[in-house]
Amino acid sequence: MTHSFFAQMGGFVIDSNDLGEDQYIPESPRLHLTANGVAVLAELDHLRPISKDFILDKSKADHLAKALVLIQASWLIIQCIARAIQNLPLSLLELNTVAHVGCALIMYFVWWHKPFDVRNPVLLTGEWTRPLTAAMWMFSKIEKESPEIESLVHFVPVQVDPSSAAKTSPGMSQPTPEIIMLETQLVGSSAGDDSRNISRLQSGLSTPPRIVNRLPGANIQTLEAKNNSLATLQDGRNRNPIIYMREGDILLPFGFGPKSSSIRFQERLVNGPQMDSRYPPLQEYYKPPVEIKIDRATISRWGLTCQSLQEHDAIWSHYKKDLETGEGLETRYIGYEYPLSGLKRNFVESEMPNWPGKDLIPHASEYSSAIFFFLCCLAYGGIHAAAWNFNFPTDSERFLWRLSAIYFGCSGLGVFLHWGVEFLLSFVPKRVLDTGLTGEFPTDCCCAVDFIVYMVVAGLTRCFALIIFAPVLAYAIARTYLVVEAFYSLRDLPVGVYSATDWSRYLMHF
Amino acid sequence: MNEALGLGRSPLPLHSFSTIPSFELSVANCYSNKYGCDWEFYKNRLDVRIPLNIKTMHGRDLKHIVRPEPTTRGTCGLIISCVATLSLCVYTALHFNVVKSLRPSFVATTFKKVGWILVGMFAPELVVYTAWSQWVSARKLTDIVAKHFDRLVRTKTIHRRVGLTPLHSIQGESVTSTNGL
Repeated sequence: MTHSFFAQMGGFVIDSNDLGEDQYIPESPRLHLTANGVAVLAELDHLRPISKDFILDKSKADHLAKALVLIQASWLIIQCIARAIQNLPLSLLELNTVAHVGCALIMYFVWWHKPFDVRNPVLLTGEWTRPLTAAMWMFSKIEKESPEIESLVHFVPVQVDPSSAAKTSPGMSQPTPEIIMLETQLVGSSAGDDSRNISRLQSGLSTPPRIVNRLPGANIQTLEAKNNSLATLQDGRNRNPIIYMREGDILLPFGFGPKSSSIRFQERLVNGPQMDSRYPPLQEYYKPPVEIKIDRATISRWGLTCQSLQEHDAIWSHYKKDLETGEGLETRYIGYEYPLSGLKRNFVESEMPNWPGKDLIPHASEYSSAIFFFLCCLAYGGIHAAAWNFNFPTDSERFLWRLSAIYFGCSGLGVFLHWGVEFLLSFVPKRVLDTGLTGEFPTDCCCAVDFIVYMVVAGLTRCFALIIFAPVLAYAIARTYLVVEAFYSLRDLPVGVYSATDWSRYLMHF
Repeated sequence: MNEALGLGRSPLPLHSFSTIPSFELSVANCYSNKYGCDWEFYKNRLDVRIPLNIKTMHGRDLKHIVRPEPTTRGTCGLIISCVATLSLCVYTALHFNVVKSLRPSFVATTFKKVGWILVGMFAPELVVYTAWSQWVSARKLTDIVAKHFDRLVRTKTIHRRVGLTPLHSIQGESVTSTNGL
């Protein structure tokens, strides 16, 4: 358990700044492995035993200090219980403290094995780190951006087996458009001259990187220009070059290209030009003009990731979804995408967040964590509701206190609201919902129920901010009120608060 | 104060622990001496208990060696004990994750910690929830890694492994110590 906590709190790091190697992650940070990342390493057999003493040595937890705090806290609780028995009134501050002590006790129990205040993580090194880290980085949400892999399509060359191809193709419900990749021959390819850089870039792949386009009507001149600048990028003539990849471009041999349906480009969809007529829609995907920048680090990262995707297919294929097939000049490609709905885990973080997020291994059912949260809120509210009949300086203060306590107890229900809304929305036809969200009235709407639903959805969308922020604001106000009132009520306490607990009552008389 | 009452020290030879009973009028004495007030005036107004004081041979009051707790408590003590307990509980219970490893800025780290302490003070159940979800995740990780190490132990590959750091390869890791992982 100590080991797990140590790993989970970011105790293992990988330095992406390898000496003498190409940069493959922007700014080459030190990356902390998350719990998910460590689980991947365990499956891939890259974990080494590490002694518990070593971890505990890094931990600055002081058990004596904890024990002293526990004694102090339990003394306070005993005092409060004794006062309750002797019918002496408690002050609100004491009640608040008791609630905190209860929380602290749970935290002690749950975090007992977690090392305290570790400053110096363990650096993992090895041959395996580069490809795996590149892949884990691309699969992780870094600094509020969606995982990079989400914004890409990945075309993998497949060996065409005539028998299997014959078997699968008639079974397809819709004949997928077979795409002929537009290719340009690299002029002045530097494959032979400066082989040092290139061989490193390719990570063992035989051909130099080149860009092809899979859409009909692509411009061959721009493609040539791109490939030329790609060549200068490789042999280091260009210091810090940036190449733009547009919709349909694919960087071979790695097979990555921008995916227009990615949420990375969705904002541009709203604000920018709605549709680029040069690019005809392909399948159901709506294609805003997309553009991604690639530089040296991107190419080496994609190369390493591609390598990892091949080697550790068992791990990464969970997140994969078939998209389309494409026909190259002599090889056949299958396109994959990695939809956002599957990418719920972070494998590396540049900085470990304290707040529970994607770095943790998700619980089997979301309900249990929601129920736990609800119970937490209920218990905390319950303790404060114990002051139901206390003496307050004024009646309105008492009323507000009661209100806040009840609000706390119920605030845990807000988590369930999420599922409730989802449940309700599952009845709403998607067409009506979409129009309600965008605010365009559905012209083909004939049913009265549809209309009502549309009005409700549209109305809720309008005051969405209010619906979300009002309870949160009320929560914050109630919180602050409880703490402030606990201190403010000290100005006018019932006399009984000041009479001390009579301990001699519990002592033996002699 | 005995002088003030005209009793003085014991005139008897101090050859034993035998004592002379004397009356202590602590509060009343204080007033009558410092402010020259009339004892008779305060006698009926103040709740003065007149205990039978017993003096040792060195003139110290036995009464002052063991003294009963006060029967009242003050606002200040109440606030101090509550606030101290509260902040100690929050600070020692919070277990932060590893901070950004390369040159962590002191100000930023402290700022973050203070922020979490405030959350712990105002919304402790959120911190409890955080701790709990980390606990759940850590238990799962334990299962995953334990399964992995079991496999390694079975295939006898674990003994050939070197430790994570040079230090550990020297120490020669025993498999049993990793079972807790």
